[in-house]
Amino acid sequence: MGRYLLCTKEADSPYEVEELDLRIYSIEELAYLIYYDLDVLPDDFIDERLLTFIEKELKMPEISGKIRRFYTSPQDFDATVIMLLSEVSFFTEQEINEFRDRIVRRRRKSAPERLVMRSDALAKRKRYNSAIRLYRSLLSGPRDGRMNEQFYTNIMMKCAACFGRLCEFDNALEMLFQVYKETGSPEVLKKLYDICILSGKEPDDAVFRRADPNLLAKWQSDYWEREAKARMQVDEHPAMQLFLKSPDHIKESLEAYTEETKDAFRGMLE
Amino acid sequence: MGKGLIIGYDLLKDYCRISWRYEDQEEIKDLKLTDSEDPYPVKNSICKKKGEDTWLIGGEAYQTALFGSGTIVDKVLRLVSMGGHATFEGITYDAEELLGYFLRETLAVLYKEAGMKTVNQIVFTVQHLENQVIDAVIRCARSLGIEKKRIHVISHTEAFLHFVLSEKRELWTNMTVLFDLSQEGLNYYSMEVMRGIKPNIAKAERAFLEEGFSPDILDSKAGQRMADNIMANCVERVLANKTVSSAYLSGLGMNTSMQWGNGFLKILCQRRRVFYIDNLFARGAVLSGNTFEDENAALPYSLMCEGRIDVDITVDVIQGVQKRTMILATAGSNWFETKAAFDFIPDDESSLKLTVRKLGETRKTLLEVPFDGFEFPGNKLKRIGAVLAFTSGNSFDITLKDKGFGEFFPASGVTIRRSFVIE
Repeated sequence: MGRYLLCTKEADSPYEVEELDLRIYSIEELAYLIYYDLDVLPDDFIDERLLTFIEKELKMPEISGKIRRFYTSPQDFDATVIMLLSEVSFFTEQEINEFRDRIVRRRRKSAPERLVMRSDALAKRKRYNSAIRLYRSLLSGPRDGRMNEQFYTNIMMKCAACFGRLCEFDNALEMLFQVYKETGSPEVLKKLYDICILSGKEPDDAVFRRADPNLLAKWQSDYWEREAKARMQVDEHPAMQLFLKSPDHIKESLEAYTEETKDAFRGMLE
Repeated sequence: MGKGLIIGYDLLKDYCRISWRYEDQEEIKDLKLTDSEDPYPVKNSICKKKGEDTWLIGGEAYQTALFGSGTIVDKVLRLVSMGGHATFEGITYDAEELLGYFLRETLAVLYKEAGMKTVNQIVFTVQHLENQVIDAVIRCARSLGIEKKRIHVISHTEAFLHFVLSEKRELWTNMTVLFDLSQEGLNYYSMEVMRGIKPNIAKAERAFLEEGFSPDILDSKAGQRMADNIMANCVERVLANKTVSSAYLSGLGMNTSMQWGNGFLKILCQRRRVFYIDNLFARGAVLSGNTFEDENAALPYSLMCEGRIDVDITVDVIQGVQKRTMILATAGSNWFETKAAFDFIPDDESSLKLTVRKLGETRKTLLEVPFDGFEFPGNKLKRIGAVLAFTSGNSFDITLKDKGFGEFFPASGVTIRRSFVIE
């Protein structure tokens, strides 16, 4: 049987989540953020700014008071967020239990693993530059002896993917090349090849001279096929239908689309 | 002399009656503009003096118009309900503006008599609760500097209810009735307290008597005889098989009923007390003002009458960690003041379900407003703004607005509106 969750007051001045360029207006949104984006949130997420927001903007001093009593050190973070979710009716008991299990599993991860989870979460939210910064911090800092080479290779691959999303192909190539040097993996070589073609660069002889020419030919053929499909999809995209409409309509729609894309791209660069 | 005034305006289409009292005194006074024989009805007429921004009411208005020094407009409230206007010296005035001037001038007389201008409550009572008239009256009163929370509009039926309940209990042990005569015709009101159910209900109803007559016929002997016969027939018919503790007469011509109505009075006065009351509705309006002014003065009854809704409307919600039943409308409230707004997030629900229960009944009815037209990105990912507002005594609208879920899932702007009639 369903139910209706009575909403609390929305804030006049929202809470800014800088990591995500997001503004939170209600306790329900805060609960949602914690539940689904916990990995993105820094360890010092519970601070005076958050508590003041809950108390003064959301007018929920009883919750902020409870958090103040509960949270005495960063070690109380997990228990505190679980308590916060329990105070808000947004999630059921079962959902909170699942969250509790997730947070326990997360806590068992090493610090580098948690940092990768945070970077992955940022990349998933298209905060590519933020993700790249964290990936690079892991790669440039001292290696954690508990982590094997595969761990760091994966980080480089993820970093390269983020560069690719930002169309920073030189950086992506540099990252992939490093991975290829360390692993010699054919999958990585293919990615290198694809990015070369995509960015209009000549595949580096030094990298590809030892590759099987038949394989290279196949990769090229695969690429052209994908490109042709993409062109067809562009023609069929609803955006293309726009140009059949009136000039005023086109202007209005393009302006809206441009703003949307600018916002999204701005977010990727944060 | 008290902290403020409680004022009752009985507004008919062509005249009004005004009563008032000091907040801390029980005595109700009736306002009169003149000392003439029938001083209390004030014609809803407004006169503008030529060449001046001076507005006149009452006898002075007619005199000025008669001598050609001004232009007069009659029946201002009728004009308001028609959405009309009038032109004075080439300038057109909305009916609402003219009503505003009328209220201003009548209040000026009242303030002078009372020796103060502080209004604690002002209650307007009208025969028919029309949206246009209610809104116009409230706006006019506000334009005169009276706070919105101190302005109320009730039906004649409700004013009658308040009046009777303020009388001695023995007068309303059983049913109480009222015959009111105006230019609109003859109306019959009945009131009784329904005991034995929780909560106790004070119920009043109005019926227009088709066989009624215009007060103008009382100007002739023949007309008086006809009026007496008609009244006798009405009284016999409506009171047949009813136990009536007391009866009231009000309105134009009823103050002289002892001269022309011996026939019907003989029937009416059998085994009950009969009263003629000047300004009955205006006084009832003043008495209702007590309940707005002081919560402790609220009547120990739920009121069931024209202008009041007779249903409770509720919805079950989760607030914090607790289930509760949220009341959206309470039986006995004024329908035009009944409005509820709340935001909610549906969890595994495809419609909003409301429970409706009629006053005095145990049976409940479930009403549903489906979320057709709302696209949900996932369960619990949409905040919906709901507004419930009554459009008459037995009908209401529910409006649902898609508010999205913050910046996670922006609002679509889609709105759903459903109207319900309560049978």
